[in-house]
Amino acid sequence: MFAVGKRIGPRPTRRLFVRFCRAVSRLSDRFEMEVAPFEVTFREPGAGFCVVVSPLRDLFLVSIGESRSFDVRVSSDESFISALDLTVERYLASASKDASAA
Amino acid sequence: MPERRSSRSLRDVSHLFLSESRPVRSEAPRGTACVWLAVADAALNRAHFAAGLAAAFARQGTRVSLLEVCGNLPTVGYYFGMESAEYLSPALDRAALVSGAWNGTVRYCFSASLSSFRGYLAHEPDRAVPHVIVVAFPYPRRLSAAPFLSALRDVSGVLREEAAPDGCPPDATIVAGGAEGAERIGDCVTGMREAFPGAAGFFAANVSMREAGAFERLALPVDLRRSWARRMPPVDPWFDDLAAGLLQVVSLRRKGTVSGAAK
Repeated sequence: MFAVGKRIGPRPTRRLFVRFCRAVSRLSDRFEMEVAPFEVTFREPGAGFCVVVSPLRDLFLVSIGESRSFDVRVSSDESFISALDLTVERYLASASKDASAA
Repeated sequence: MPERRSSRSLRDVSHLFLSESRPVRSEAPRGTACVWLAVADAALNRAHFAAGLAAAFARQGTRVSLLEVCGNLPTVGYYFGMESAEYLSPALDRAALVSGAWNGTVRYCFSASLSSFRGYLAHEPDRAVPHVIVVAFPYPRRLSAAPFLSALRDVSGVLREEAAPDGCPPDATIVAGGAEGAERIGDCVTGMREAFPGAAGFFAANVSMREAGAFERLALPVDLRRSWARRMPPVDPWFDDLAAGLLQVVSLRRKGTVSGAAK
């Protein structure tokens, strides 16, 4: 995760990337994290929830959902909060939906 | 014919017991009950559970102070309708201490750092109304559990609204966890029982456990997750029953202590 984050130039944004990944990984004990050269994927098996975090040169991109229907570009505290809020909300909605379907 | 007295509601009974004017135990200040919620794993949403329990206590007619140690998201701020920048601030700064109030009955504060709670300023108490303190936290791994619980007992004293040299030990403890975390829940029950042998013990999980001992099992509703996404405290009869039951247990234990002392 740290190695992937090194693709981001500005140190504050790199720090946000690590904090974001850490916060998402703690949302659920069931999350599986896949680290690829250009992105980190968090997925809850069988739950249909997925977040892909892709570091770019000056920012990182947060894509939410299997179809990556939501993209948030993060380069500041404000955009970090927006991306994390959306991720938390989507994760909780996914968990609620699973419970309803069960 | 003698006038028949109307039966008293649980709220009245709880109020009377919790408002007992004699200090019955050194750790139990007048009119205050303290409940600790230890969550064994992230399969159970700590903030959701804590917000639902706090709101249920408020419906029982008590003032509620809620302290949450938030090792992971969401925080109780999510369920009390806080702005995203506030409820997510521990993700940016572990030492951030966030506080707020809900419906005029629940005061809450949360932080990822235990030491930050020392900066919390309790408000002027309304002593006419019984006060319930709820302390919610993720149960730490076994090796660090004892010092963590000791430190938590100290810092949670900030909610007692009066001098609290011995912090805020629990009158009742609830250990909660997901169905897959039986081993973690077992560790948690053992740790809480050893740390607070005098507290009434409950565990809320859909697992059976040998370590339960005197802990009373509460079956978790299977559909509790359905309200995880709503940005409001869950309203479920299960929480109301739990809050009423906890008040009753604490009240009866105190009454028993008073009766015992009077003999």
